[in-house]
Amino acid sequence: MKGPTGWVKLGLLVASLAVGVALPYLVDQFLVGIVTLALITGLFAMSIDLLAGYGGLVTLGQAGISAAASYGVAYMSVKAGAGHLAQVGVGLLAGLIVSAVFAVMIMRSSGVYFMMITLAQGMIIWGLSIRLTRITGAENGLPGVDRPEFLSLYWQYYWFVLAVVLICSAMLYVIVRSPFGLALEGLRESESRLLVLGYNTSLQKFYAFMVSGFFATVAGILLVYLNQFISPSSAHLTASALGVLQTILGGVGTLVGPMIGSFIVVYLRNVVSQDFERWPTLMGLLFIVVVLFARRGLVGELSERWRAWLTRRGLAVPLR
Amino acid sequence: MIGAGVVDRVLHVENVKVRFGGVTAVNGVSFEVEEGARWAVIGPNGAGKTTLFRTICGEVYPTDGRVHLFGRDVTRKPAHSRAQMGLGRTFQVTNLFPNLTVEENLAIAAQARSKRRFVSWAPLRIRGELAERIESALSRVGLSERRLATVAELSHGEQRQMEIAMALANAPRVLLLDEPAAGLSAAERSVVRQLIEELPRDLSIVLIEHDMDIALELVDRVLVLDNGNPIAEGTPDEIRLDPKVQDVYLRDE
Repeated sequence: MKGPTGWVKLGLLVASLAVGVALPYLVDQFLVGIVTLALITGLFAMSIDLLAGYGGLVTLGQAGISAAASYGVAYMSVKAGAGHLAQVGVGLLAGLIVSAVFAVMIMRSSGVYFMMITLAQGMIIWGLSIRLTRITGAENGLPGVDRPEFLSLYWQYYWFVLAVVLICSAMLYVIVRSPFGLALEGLRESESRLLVLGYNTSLQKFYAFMVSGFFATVAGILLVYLNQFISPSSAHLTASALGVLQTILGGVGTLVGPMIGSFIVVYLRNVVSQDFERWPTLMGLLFIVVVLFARRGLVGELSERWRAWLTRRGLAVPLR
Repeated sequence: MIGAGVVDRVLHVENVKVRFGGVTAVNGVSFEVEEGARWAVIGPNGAGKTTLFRTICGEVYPTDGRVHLFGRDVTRKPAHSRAQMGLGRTFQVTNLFPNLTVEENLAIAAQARSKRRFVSWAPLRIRGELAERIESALSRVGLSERRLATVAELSHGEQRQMEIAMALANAPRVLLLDEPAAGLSAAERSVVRQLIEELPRDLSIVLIEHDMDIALELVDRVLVLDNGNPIAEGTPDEIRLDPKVQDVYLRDE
């Protein structure tokens, strides 16, 4: 633990863990379902943050990877009638194969070109999910993806998702603090400098995209078992853009920010929308306020203010 | 297979030509840098100095001619593989990682040529040889006190010093310095000049400088370019007295 920041972080972590574990005892089924969804889309947004916030590679096709994983699971469950192990295996395989193909396509691009290629990639998956009727059920989607017996109740699945998301978050936390993570930040700052230092930046992008794709795949598998249903809209640009929006809202390059952004967006979409039809307006306004007054996002801005406050009191400690 | 003479020659540029469309930026330049030698490439603006550098680094491939590094033909090798062999460069326009701290910048440079740069399953720990290299680079350029500042917070002069510190943390055997004193005040220039003079003697250096006076004081061999053509090569004293060189520089004034 380093200085006051470390203690504050530890305190927040312990508090949110306690609430997280106790949640099924505190609130009703509906809210537990909402939080489950927020955790999954939060993991999805974190996978975007790894690329966008750390590598400077803003992707607009991440939902394509998640949807491919979801379709893998749903096909094995609904169409092939296979066991759960096979379902998850095929889901993982589908997500990782799509990631690998996409990664080869983007490894030599950056900036706006990277955005445009990933946008197209996501929409290819969307197009396929509409056209390949026999595999995906087209517009009707694939309903009836059953969870295994031990996860069939809502609170069982909630705890399972909480555990998986925690493990994935810990992995992401280590990755961004590793030598590879630091070099990834170098990629965001100056690719030409990395090249002359001896980094093969194409390989670096391929690897980063695969790691990010892995977490998007896990999110896709968790999501299809939550909804027990998958349809083409999951692969659409809207889904990818929403993930980017959550990331910007919470704070690009903070990892925990996208998770918080995800809670806000899910709350607006699923709770506020019941009483207030114009919830997208509300979200738009919130987004404008954040971009205008907290350009680093909610978490980014808060931690920056906190650091400035500490520095004024001479309590600042090195980041690494 | 490799004779002693070949190993001593760390960099060999052989009749390099670079054409961009109809423009010939570099037209048949050759020179050989021996281990520990210090070279300057000088010439007026637009002489092709930076293009020649980019060709040596692998950022641009030559239209014709060859580049050899440590006795190996690297003409078609990408920039990062040449860097892995021990070729370092600095940039004329400061090119650092602005939102990272001084220490993080140097850590990226220091780990660049070790297997450690692939590690993604354990947190970065700056220690051992990595820490030593960062410390020595910091103290050499006099930025030890600024290690926790982000590069964006440094003054222009300090950023120019960071350019050199980055190259040193990368531990190259051949260092290309692209106008290290560009845009500096007289006082800052003399700091950078002293910095370059005090670099380890076993490090081979090729320096680009627009300002002839600075360049000639720092090196033992000089190559003069004009419009992409090599017009003279020799010791600083020979170059000072060369009428062709004086012509080029007087015409330019």
